[in-house]
Amino acid sequence: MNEKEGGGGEVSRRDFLANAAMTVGLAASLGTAGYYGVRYLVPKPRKKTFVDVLVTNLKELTPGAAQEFIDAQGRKGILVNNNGTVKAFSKICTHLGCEVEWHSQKKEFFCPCHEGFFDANGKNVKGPPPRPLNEFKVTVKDDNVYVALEEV
Amino acid sequence: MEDVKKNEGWIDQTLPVDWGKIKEEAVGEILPHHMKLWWYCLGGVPAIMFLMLVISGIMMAFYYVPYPSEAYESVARITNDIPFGWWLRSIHRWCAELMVVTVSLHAIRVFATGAYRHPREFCWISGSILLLLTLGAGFTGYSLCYTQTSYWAMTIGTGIAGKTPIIGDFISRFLLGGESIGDATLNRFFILHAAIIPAIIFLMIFVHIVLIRLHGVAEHIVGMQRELIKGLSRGDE
Repeated sequence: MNEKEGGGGEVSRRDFLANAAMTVGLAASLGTAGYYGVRYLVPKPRKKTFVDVLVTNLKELTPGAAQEFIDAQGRKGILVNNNGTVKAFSKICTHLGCEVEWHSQKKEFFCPCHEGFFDANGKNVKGPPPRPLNEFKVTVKDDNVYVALEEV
Repeated sequence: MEDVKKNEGWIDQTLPVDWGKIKEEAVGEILPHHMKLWWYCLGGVPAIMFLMLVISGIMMAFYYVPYPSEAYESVARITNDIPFGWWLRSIHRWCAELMVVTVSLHAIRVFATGAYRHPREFCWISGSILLLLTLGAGFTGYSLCYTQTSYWAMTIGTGIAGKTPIIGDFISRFLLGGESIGDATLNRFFILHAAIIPAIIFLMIFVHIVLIRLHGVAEHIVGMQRELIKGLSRGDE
């Protein structure tokens, strides 16, 4: 063990094999980690795909009624039938992410955290919210109500 | 130059460091027999956890956005869209939990075996600071995901801090960056979580380890008594 690498000393077979095994092992593991690290840092762009999901029908979602649903990411949304026009919005307030509630009498969404108001089209009308509620595409076919949800 | 020795390789000539001595210092310390029991090694586990948290945390900071309307989405993106993002996030999360658990167990072990006593007061004090910093990093990290529970944990946590006598109001406004949770709050929590707290933890781990190496491992009182009893009974025979 007295010889230095690059020096003129003889390297025993045992040391050579141990060092070779260590080098190969380290190169393999660090190489794998590096490969996946680069793949993490330079991801391929993923296209968003949407699927129409049957959520409810117009027999249940009568005019004036509202119905909650959960999207593929587990976030809450709400379907609102405002006198025949069915719309779907995310229940997440655009201010600080609290859950908004639908007031069917006043036809508005209300966020209890900081008193934010959105109208029946999801537009932010009063309080701190900076932009409208996120909207989902809704299709009504043969009384069935489909909501376009993003695939995970 | 005269100091360049002929029989040394290029690395040894350009970097004249005694690697052997460093290796000797780092791994060559002779430890007492009782250190082979696993619960005496609980101090090293949180240090390794910290290292893994730093690596996985830096990786996730590439994608995290500390802004209220983006924070949850960016965490969801790390989990669902970015290759191996879910894996890094899980590692970060479990290492964080294990770090809290092992730091606590380490403190209990040191307390139970009396290893905190004179002259190791500053080991104990730096360790206590490390425990508090670990919990602080946990709290700020929990808030960064920005789920409903994060939001209310922030509200409750800063509320508790705000009830501190005299300086409470100052602390709460410092943490929130205003009167209530807003745009500034997540930024502050992110800087605390990803820069300030880890930097102090790193410094404290350094101090902690240097102190341990200077003092050497604390003697094991229970084991010593057993040895003593053995010795005495042998003397009787």
